[in-house]
Amino acid sequence: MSRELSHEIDELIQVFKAEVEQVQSQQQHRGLKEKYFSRRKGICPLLMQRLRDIPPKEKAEAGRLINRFKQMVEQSLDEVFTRLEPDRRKPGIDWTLPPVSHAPGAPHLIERTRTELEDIFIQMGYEVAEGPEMESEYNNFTALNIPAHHPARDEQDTFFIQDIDDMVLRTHTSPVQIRYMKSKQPPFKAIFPGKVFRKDEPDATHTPVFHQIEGLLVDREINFSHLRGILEAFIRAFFGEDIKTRFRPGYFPFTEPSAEIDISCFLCFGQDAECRICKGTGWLEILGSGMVHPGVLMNCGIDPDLFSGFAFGMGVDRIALLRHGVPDLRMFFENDLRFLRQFR
Amino acid sequence: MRINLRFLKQFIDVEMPVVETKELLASLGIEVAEVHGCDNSTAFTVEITPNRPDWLSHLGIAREIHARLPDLPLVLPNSLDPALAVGEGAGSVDIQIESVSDCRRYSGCEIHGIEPSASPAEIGALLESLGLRPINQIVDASNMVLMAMGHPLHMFDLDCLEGKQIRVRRARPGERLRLLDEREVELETEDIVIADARRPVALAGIMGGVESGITNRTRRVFVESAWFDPVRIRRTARRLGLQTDASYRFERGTDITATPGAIVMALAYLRAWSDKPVVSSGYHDEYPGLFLATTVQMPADYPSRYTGVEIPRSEAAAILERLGFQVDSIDKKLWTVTVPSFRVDITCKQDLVEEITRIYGYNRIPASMPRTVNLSFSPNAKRNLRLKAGRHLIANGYFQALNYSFQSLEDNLLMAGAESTHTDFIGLRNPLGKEYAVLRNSLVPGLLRATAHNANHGALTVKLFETGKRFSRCSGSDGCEEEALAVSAWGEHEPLSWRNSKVEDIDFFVFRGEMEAFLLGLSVEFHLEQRDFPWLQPGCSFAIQIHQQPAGWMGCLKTETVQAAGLDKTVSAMEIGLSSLLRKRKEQRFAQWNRFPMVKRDLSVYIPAGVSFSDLEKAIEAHRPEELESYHLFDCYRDRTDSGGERISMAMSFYYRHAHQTLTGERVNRIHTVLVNNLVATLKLELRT
Repeated sequence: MSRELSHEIDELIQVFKAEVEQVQSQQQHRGLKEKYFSRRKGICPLLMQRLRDIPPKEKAEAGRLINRFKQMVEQSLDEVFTRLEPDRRKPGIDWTLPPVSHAPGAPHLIERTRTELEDIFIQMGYEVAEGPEMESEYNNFTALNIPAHHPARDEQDTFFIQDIDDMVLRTHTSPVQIRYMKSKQPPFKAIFPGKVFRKDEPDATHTPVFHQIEGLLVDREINFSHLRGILEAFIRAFFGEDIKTRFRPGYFPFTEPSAEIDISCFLCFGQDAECRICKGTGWLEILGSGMVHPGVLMNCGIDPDLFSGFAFGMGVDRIALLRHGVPDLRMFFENDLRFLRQFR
Repeated sequence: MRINLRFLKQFIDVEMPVVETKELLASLGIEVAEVHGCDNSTAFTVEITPNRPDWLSHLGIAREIHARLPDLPLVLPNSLDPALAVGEGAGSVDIQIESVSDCRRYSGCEIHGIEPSASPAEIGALLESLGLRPINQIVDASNMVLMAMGHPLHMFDLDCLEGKQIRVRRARPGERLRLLDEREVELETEDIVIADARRPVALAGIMGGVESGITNRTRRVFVESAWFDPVRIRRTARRLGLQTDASYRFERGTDITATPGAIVMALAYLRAWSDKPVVSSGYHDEYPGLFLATTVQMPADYPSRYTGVEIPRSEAAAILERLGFQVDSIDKKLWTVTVPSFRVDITCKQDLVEEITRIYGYNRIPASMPRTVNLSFSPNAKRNLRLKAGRHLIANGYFQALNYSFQSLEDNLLMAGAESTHTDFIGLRNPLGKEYAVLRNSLVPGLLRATAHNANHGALTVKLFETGKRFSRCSGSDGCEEEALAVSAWGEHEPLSWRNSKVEDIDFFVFRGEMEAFLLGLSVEFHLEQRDFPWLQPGCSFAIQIHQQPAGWMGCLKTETVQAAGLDKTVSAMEIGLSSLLRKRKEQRFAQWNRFPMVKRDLSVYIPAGVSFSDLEKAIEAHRPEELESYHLFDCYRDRTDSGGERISMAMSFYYRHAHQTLTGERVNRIHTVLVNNLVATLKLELRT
């Protein structure tokens, strides 16, 4: 019996040696391993099963033979494996075929820019407060030191609501500052993003709807250098460390002193007299700002002798337009996929 | 306003390249919008903010430059006593002011024996460089005064003033006036006019009348130099759509103390340009609204405290004085600062700080960081939700759209019941046009428009979403706004590919699947109930409940609507109120999952006409055995009955599992049979074998 087995195993060894020499890939290696060790049909497990039928006195010898064979196969398979290159491909399937496409959409460039701008202030600890698009004339103008028949109202051509007295589409997000200041105890700092409306016929540089982010900080002993500190920090965070800023006197009825803030042109750095965005001036007007007018603080129930603060505002559309080289503001409202897809 | 740099030198001898002058002006707050002409007669168009009417003159600009560059002296115009300048002789004109609040001062004089002729050539050229048309020396003199010191004058033909009267009064009902530009205007009692004995001869502070204007026949002139109420001038000018150099200045506030000086300057010009003596007489100054200088109290250390930089007191005081202010005593702790009459914008100490800082230099203020921390803080849940919703939709192929908050009435009607009219919406009193007439009641028409736009430009799939305000009338006449989220999808679901040889369109089931996944992703509990909305296809129209409350709708837009937009495939859409997504769901608790094996049983049935899957679902719920864990529709098709009628076949799997033990096949069969019998009995189902 065991002689018979021994003979059989010798033959198996010959076969195996021939087979193992043919192994070129992990795939083939796996196949061979399967052939010899598969739990149900593998050659080695089958040999082991046959031990049951071998008379007891020959069992030990047969077991040794089988084990030796098993160890030899295992060992030489392991040796072969280390020589093999890792698997490159499974024959039959071209894994480079294109995937099933799941093209994502995209946030709107305005919203994306707005989120980026907001995030900077959020990380500086600012709240984000929002308010209605339909506003009272009081909140939009009067409370902000712009009484009826003030020439400053000319600069913001206003949409009026039909049949509801004294209601307008807000011309800036400043009325949200009024609402916020009335509802809060200083110290506070917050930003006020949102849609605003001015009666302009749409053209490349005007749309009747656009977006602003305004900001406000009120505390004891706040001064003009704080305004500068925060806004310069913001500008560096958003536009880059090497951007320069310039403060110019400006005018807003609701701030005193008021300042316009320019940044150095990030496209030409003042080197191109024909620059598409700075028109050769080297500067881009980016922010309006100022110390909150004491009259505005009083309108909101805040004592200007105890508290002072600063406010600022910027146009999201303009910033997005400048930064990404969008040629026409109207494109923001066309919702053309060829536009939207570019700003994933 | 325009500034001629050569003319400016009459007031301050500033000599620097054009670029530097521009920068200097910008650093003072005067923005140069445009540069005209060449070196010899360069003129700037400057943008003057509405708070600074004193800058609407060369003198005003010169004063600012002087404040910054004190080494350059400011040359003030001749401050001769007007009585002396005009000369002896009583006038013939009787001046009366009806209301002091309308007109606080009216100065005037007469000029005789003058013949209108052209001004000297260099004056004509100067005026042209300032954007004014030279007319004759009389009119030109008033324009030169306007440009030099910013005070508007008006020149009347004295012989056309009936009764030699000047009455500053309100217009009377029905009065009309033909203006210098030949326009005839109907006057209202709100308007201030200059009238003679019979009729209005000028629209005060805005434009003169043509009948009393200077012509070639004029030989005697009456010069008006007055102060009018800014608000009234502005109202009339706005109503009549008239903006003149005069009204522009009067409505911003002119210097009430300047009226005699303006007359003196005009006479000086006329005398300088004329070979013959210019005879003047009858200087009259009607001045009922006497000027009282404004004073502002300011702690001496306030400029330093408010700017955050140490500005020496002496420097601050010197700046104010160069700008025409007076500081009572620099050594006092509290300064009393007298504001010059031409600075109508200064009312508080913060205004003074701006003046000091402007001249000191904004860019000399250092940057520092405030340590402010909010006293109370609330995160903006809506913003977070918007971003989260956006991220989910974007990952699933949706693009964010952005539309105006207003649209056409037709668009609003599309999204309203058949009985709606324009009064249900909020309109704009002064819209840009019909397509922007009302505030939108829904975001969906904007998405539909964008879908059509993209389809027309070759897009095969258009999946869009938008968050934004929608508006409605609430509680009668009031307007309400609410933030909504709208989603729409049109076109191909999966494009043609090597795996996909048949293009499927996005139908309602695809869309609903995506939207349900989206809502699950936002961790809201929702429920859809078939209900007809007027803008959706009957049947393919569902109300969405979120946390058991109405939240919005989902369905396919009506075929007519979609076709009218030029689209040939279904548009699926959903709109929900953003706040409904913010409703708090019940706090989630851990639950141990069932460890016992699951057993599946199938059911194939014919459904009678009129019974929907949702009816089947309701029946299952009604008879649900506690061991039923879930069920799943795996087949649904239509076929014909033997008699030729149509019937619907549905095949479902039911999954059973017991909470505490392994179910035997026998037991499952029993439970399943009871359920099936109940379903068959309730819905009259026919079992398929």
